[in-house]
Amino acid sequence: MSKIVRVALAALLAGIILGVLAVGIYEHLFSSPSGVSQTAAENVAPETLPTNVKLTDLRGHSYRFSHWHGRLLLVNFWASWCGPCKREIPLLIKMQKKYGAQGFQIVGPAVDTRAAARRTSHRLHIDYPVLTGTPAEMIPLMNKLGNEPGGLPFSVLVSPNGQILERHLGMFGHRELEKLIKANLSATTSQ
Amino acid sequence: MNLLAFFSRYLILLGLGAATVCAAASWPGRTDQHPLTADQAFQMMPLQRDAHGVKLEWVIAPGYFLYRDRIKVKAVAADRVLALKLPPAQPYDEPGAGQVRVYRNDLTARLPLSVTVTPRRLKVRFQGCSDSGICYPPQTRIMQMPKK
Repeated sequence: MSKIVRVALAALLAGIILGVLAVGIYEHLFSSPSGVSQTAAENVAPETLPTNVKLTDLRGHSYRFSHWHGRLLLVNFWASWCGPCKREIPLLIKMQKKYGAQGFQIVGPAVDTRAAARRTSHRLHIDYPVLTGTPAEMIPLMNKLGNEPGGLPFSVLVSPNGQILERHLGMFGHRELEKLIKANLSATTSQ
Repeated sequence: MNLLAFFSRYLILLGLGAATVCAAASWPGRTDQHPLTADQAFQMMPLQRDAHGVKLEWVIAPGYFLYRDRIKVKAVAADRVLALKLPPAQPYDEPGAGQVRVYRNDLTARLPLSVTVTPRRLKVRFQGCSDSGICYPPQTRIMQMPKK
């Protein structure tokens, strides 16, 4: 192999390594692992959570989102038939445990029958409130909240006074979610 | 070798390598920054009838898939499940759920029908997800049976 070919191959390899590093650094710093985030500044849908929507929990009790007024609320839409939703839930449970005492609350509306949501909720040991609703109820609600494709998992971060801070379609990454919670908890407490 | 020529060649190759990888990494199907609606991802074509029965056809967008075991067809009037002939599906390792069978790109299924009990309308139910980690609620379509 001539010297020039060896140099060319080495350079190409170095270029690929540099490219991979560049992409890795870019993704680590700027992008979400699998989801599409939309911050409050880009909002197109209403800025606050709808106050008139009532959803029932696993015991059949009705709740409005205003029930959690005063807390930094993460509304996480999920379903028993949604693999990525079930993969994301252990992270949500962990975040609820870690930041619950500081005013963070997760609520999980399930696009499911109550029986299916109950079964999956027990199996995954979900310890935050789970609400249920049929696709016919939940899809228009998600659309209203800015989820045009109607996919799951879909999360909406809401300030203690009901303002939508962030919308996220797809799974959260660990670092991404924790950073978001921390930033908004500190913003809430410093106000 | 001229030193300038050596470094020029080196830098060009370095740049090309980096650019190739960066372009591959930012390919739209990979990050899916603009997820499709269920209608766009799983386009169901009008039913087609032939001598053997009815053909059901889906056009599935790249990066999306339909679950084999979540495709169901019923006769609307009788509310009875009809036996659908589905082609072999691809294996898909779903984290936490093990191996499931899915369809990608195009799917053509067949519904053998007898002349005496041909329903007028079919209720077709299907469900799918994207490789980027977004799942769509079960979809239901009422499909009109084409005339012979």
